[in-house]
Amino acid sequence: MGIFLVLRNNTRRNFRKRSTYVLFVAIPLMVLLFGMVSENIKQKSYVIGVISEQSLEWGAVPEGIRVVSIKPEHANTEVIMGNCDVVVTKDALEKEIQRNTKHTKREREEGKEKKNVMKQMLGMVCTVYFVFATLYASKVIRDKKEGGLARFEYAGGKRVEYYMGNLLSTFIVVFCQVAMVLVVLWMVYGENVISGRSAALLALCISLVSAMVGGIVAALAKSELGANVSVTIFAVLCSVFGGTFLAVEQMPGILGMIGKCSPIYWMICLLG
Amino acid sequence: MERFYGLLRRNLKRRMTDGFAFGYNIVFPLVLIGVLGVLLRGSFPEQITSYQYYAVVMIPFCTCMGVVTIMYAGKEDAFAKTGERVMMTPVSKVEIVSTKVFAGTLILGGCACLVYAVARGFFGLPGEGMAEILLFYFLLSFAVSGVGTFLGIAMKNFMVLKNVVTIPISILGVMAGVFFRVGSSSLVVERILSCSFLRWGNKALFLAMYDGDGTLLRRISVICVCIGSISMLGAVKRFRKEEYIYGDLPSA
Repeated sequence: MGIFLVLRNNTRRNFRKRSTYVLFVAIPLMVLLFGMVSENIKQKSYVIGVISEQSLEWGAVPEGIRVVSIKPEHANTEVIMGNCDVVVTKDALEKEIQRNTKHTKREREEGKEKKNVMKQMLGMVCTVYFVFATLYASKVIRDKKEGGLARFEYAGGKRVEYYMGNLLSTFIVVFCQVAMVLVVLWMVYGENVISGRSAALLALCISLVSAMVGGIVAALAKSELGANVSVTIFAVLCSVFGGTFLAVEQMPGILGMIGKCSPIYWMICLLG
Repeated sequence: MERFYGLLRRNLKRRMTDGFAFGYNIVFPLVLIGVLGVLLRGSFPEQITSYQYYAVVMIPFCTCMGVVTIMYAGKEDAFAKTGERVMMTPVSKVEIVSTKVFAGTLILGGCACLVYAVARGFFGLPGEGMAEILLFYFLLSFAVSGVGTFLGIAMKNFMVLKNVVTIPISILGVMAGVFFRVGSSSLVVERILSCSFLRWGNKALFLAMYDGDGTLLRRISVICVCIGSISMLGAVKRFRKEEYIYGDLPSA
């Protein structure tokens, strides 16, 4: 009964702030939007930067190669930031084009490419929901400080019931948000990349794991700032090791093993 | 001036004993530089190593993430129930706000410089334009502290803001290539990516370190001073006694 009371009360509190609820759906959607944009902006050709004071037209170049003008004082920075693959002088341009013509045709399997981007985006969405779930669950810190938890115990409730009720209410609110985000994702990408069943399973798993992470962090943290900072660091590390930026299979030695311990790796695996 | 120094000392002491500020701005960037450096060591051009790349991009990113700790610093007197005592002393709101900003600047800037020194020692970051770079870290910290103090002191919806402020910074960080390089030769795409102020900061640092051109870094430093000053003035203007003393009351 205690669990149910806390669940009902905290669920009401979670849904009361509509602006926060909308924001917590909008932010992951923005992450996904960014993923879709970045999928289209990725370099699909080999870019040769030619050192030149003025912006010049480079005429016809073979398919798969682009030539752009680079200011001499920006040569290293353009390569480092990934705006071009190599920087050469005007005289060396012809040679560089010939050298790269054969192996620059980056033919992409459309479906496979989309799936990889989708995996990255999913990793980021999980990271974001770890943080959001903690923010919802950290109500318990405020309740401890303001005496809400003590009142619950005076009324005969047990502390563990309070934590369980809080965890379940966090799960419910996060599940509603994740489900909305995944429905949008499914509508955009379609069955080829994510099936309806996978989406449902993912929504369940992401909300369950996020609620558990949030519940544990909130129960252990002494302040809201502590919970906020700890979960951000934990979520980013899980994301880095879990294959959001580099597939776990490509990670060297022990890092690959650590990666498999990250909950985000298993979420990404659910995509297939 | 004595009151100003007294408050500054108090704020500095609080910031120095705040483990989260150090964790966020020293340990976190060093761990990320190490981890991402190892993971992506084969995917960088010959001009730079993965460790150097992540050292350059991670320091401004973590400094910006420090806005959370500065926001809480703006509310700490209300949380610690010491706001009323401070208000009873003959200190002005200018002194209260400015000491919070300067304490944040010194701590965030100091942490950034320390991470830079470690990265220079261990990963061989080029020493080109070091003075300008260190100054830039302090001025960026000033801007972050100004904005953080403004959000912490002057905004009524602090409870919502504190929860979501790190997410847009992370998105801007991704656009700036903090976690993986996001480059494009297309003008349109470059314009979209340029919406991220962190991308400008990173570009300025790369130009200063690897091309010996500090012009952009100096311009951005001036912009940081302007942002910090405007935010500080905004915080002074919107400073409310009641919010400062009782601002810990949750809205839901």
